[in-house]
Amino acid sequence: MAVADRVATVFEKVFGIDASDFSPDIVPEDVLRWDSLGHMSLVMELEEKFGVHFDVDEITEMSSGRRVIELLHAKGVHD
Amino acid sequence: MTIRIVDYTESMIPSVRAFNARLAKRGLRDRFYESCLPHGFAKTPGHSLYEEHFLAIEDDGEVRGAYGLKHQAFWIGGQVVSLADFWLPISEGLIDRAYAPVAALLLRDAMQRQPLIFGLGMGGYNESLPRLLAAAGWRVSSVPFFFRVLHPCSFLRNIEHLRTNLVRTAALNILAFTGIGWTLGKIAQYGCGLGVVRDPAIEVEEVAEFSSWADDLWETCKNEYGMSAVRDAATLSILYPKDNARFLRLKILRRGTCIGWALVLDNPLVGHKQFGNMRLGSLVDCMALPTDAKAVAIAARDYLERRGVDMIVSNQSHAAWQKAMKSAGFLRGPSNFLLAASRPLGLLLDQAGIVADHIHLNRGDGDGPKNL
Repeated sequence: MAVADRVATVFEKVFGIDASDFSPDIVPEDVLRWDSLGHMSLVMELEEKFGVHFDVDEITEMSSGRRVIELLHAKGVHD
Repeated sequence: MTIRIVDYTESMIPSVRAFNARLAKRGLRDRFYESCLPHGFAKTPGHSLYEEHFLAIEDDGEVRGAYGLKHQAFWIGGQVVSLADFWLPISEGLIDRAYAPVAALLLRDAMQRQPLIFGLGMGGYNESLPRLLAAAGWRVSSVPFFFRVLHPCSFLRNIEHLRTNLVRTAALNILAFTGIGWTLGKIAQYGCGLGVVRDPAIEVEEVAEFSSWADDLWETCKNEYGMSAVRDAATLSILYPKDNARFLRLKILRRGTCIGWALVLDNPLVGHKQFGNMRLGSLVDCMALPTDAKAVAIAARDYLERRGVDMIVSNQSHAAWQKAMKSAGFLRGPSNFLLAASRPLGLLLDQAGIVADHIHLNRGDGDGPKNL
């Protein structure tokens, strides 16, 4: 499964959106539950699902679907 | 967006003011300190109790978040371990979702500095901070709340927690002004006090400071607690400084030997969100052998009652102190005072076999009695 699709399922689980509504351009303002609590949940779920750990800089950079995918690629997560 | 966490220094005070102003403009009550100086817990050589304040700064120099750490020595499983209280985290994400990542950033930064970290208080399970910590895998539980009403009419007129609608408010007013409330309250208190026998060998001294007797008591008591902040004289003198007249220090003796102490407050409140204008007594902090906790609780209760407070409150996590409060005629009420322990701290407690009611925490811990 492509990384983007796997991230979409994480977004579906964390934010309650349909996976088909996920796109690389998605940002917090587009998602009702992507607030501080939602962001914390997103970080935790991504770490658990992909077996990675995000440092403080990466947590801040996670500001869009595209950046999430790029950060995962940078950590060796590939399609 | 690039954000970094930095130490709070004097040059950043204007940015913190601007941050607080943005929060206020959106109707939030959260504020961070507009002074970079630690509030009572400056780092000094030889002391393990100190505060640090950190800011989340964006590239343009604007403050987008802040938090504090209170470092303190704790007695856990028979040894001294340094923990930190994670307090007052505030994020711009509260008012601008573009900054949603900031809260997670503050928490992750704090954990990098000190993985053995906890939060205390937080206002209840529905508040954003405990929900955030739970999402981060922290263990969140409530610290039981106890109360004793001494003047039922004042209680009924002021207890904001119960005045949630016009009907309740009217009912409480009727109970207060007709004297029915006073009667019911006294009946309830009498019922709770049945069987409480005052030990005639107990004396209470109000003392100006904690000194070597507190050290002796700590050494006697510490192994009876699975986890407790180190409560030696040096630490207590920092937590409850001699020059702060609010702190009432009670030394409890049995036949001349110190068996415990209680730190109490007597606060005439004005417009308090929960207690209105009551004169509120608090058993904030305490130490004794578990077998002497009841005597200390009764002594503190009687002292505050003689002072004329309307109601006495306390939060106590340890089983011995919970039992003591009930034995002293206190009722248990709903608690919004929570304990959240980071995963590493939770693991440490598990490894030491320490469960929640082995932990001695109360309002003297965390950000202390600042809010009472």
